Amino acid sequence: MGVQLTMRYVAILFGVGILLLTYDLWCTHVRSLIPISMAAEKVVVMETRSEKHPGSDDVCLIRTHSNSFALTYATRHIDSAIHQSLAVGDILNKNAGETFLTVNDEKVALKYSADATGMLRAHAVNGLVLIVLLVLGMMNRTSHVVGSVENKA
Amino acid sequence: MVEFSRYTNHFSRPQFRPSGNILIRTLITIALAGLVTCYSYLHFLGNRLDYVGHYAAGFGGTLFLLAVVFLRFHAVQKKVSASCLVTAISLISICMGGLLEATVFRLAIFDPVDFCNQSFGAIVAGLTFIAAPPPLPLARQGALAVLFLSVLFLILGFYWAFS
Repeated sequence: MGVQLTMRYVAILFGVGILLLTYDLWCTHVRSLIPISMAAEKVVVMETRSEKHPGSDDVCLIRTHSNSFALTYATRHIDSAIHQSLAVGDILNKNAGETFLTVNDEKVALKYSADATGMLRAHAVNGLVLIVLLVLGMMNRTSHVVGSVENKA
Repeated sequence: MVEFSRYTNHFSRPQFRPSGNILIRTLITIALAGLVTCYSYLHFLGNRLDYVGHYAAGFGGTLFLLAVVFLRFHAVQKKVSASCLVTAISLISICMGGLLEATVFRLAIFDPVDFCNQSFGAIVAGLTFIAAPPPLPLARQGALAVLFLSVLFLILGFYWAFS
């Protein structure tokens, strides 16, 4: 019973860890705009906010609105390279997965940032560490069952 | 033997070895897990030290909480599952980190990437404690050793995040 409970806790921590890594990757990749679609979204506000290291980790935001289905507003955190090629009033179109963004009638090439590719590689290693810790945790539980003090008692 | 099993409480493997060896194994596992993950951030994201800073701070902060709780409350003697306690502390640590990120350390926006990295540090710290559990109840010198590692990672985290 106790072993099963411990396995459950190990599984909870492992599951949360995988969720965090996945969401982290999604957040860094979506800033390139490649994974998402945009249907006639008009840029209404552009803003750059400074973080701890101005110039290298600035937060580039755009606020867009679209009235294709319903009047909706969206605030997006995007890569600085894309931010520099946009202006207020631009109309943005793209399909999910495409590596170019149509700004008004011009096509702007999109690519994943160094942050996104670096995060993918770093989290591949981090995921392996997570798996090793999971296996170690499971081995501990197994050794506790077989010939454990409880059984002997 | 029954008395002994009460202390192990489904957390550590049967203690056929001296507790000192087990403590050393715990410390080595903590240090290795922390260093390998920090190195992966530094190697692949060397231009963004704030990411590894958040990770190290989450890792160190959670280790700190774990050491303090296991030193102060001797949860195993209170018949609380130690694994349950580690999981709870890790999740509480994630919530505390989220709260700090949303308030004190919110400089531009609440950055979900920073939150994920520091929370991942908390998860790795918790899993390390279950994968290589220290002898329980955690003795003072064991807690001090874990506290030393936690403070080391906290200092590194703040250095990387703000340097």
